[in-house]
Amino acid sequence: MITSTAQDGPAAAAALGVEFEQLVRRHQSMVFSIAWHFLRDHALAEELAQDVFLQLHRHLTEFKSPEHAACWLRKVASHRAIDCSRRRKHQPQVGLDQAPEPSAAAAPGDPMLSERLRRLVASLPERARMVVILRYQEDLDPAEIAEVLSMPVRTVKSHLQRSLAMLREKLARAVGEENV
Amino acid sequence: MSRLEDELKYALRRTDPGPEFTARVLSRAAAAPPARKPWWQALSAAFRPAMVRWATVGVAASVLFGVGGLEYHRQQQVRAEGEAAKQQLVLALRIAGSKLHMAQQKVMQAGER
Repeated sequence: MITSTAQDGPAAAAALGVEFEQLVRRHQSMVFSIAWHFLRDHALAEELAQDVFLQLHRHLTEFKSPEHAACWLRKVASHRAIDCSRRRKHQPQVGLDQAPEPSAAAAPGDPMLSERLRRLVASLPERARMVVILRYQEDLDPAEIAEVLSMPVRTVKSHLQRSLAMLREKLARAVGEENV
Repeated sequence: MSRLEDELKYALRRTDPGPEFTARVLSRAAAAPPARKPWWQALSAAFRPAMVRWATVGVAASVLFGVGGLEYHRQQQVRAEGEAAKQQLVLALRIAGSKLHMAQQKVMQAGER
């Protein structure tokens, strides 16, 4: 495993290189998607994801297991995405009650609905946005999300409830307007 | 899970960035300087099988030399104590001999009167 007992030297370096490549292939979708769904900027998301993996590479010998590395990647990707969003000045934060309304109703599973939902999620405040992404992209429960984001479980649940309520209201309003 | 949550799961499903992303990451990692081991890992690296054998030999030799040195010192101490005791005995015998000689002379003087 990562903390291999192999001797120092070229053989150990090669083994670490193989392990790193496996970790990249296994987790690149997760890391990139967290950044992409959060930032909604493909180039920025890819750059952030690359930086996260390079940071992993620098600390590769410190991980106890593949699961440890996966948890670390998820946590670092989440925090870096939030930090990156805060540094971006051209995309102002929108309050939950100010999130844009969908322009038209869409059928379930509709790609338009999916895109609309992604935009709605991307307009949420940073913490709430990352909570929603970790819940529905990564299928984490509130306790796991709380550990990743270093926030109380009740705060996670509050973000989830408020975000879902707002998303539901926005979509229902759009459907109601379409039916009128 | 509600319909909205199902839609969210679908909308927020993972997207693979593609093989070019992988290649770029590996290329940048290969160009990066090698990771420095934390001090505790460098220390634990000392406990490798071959080095453990040599370290064991060194420790055993140190113990043997230490024990041998202690024993030599103890022997030296016993010898010194014995020598001191011998000197004291010789002195006591001289004193006793001197007093005996004095007593003998007095007896002889008393006999001549």
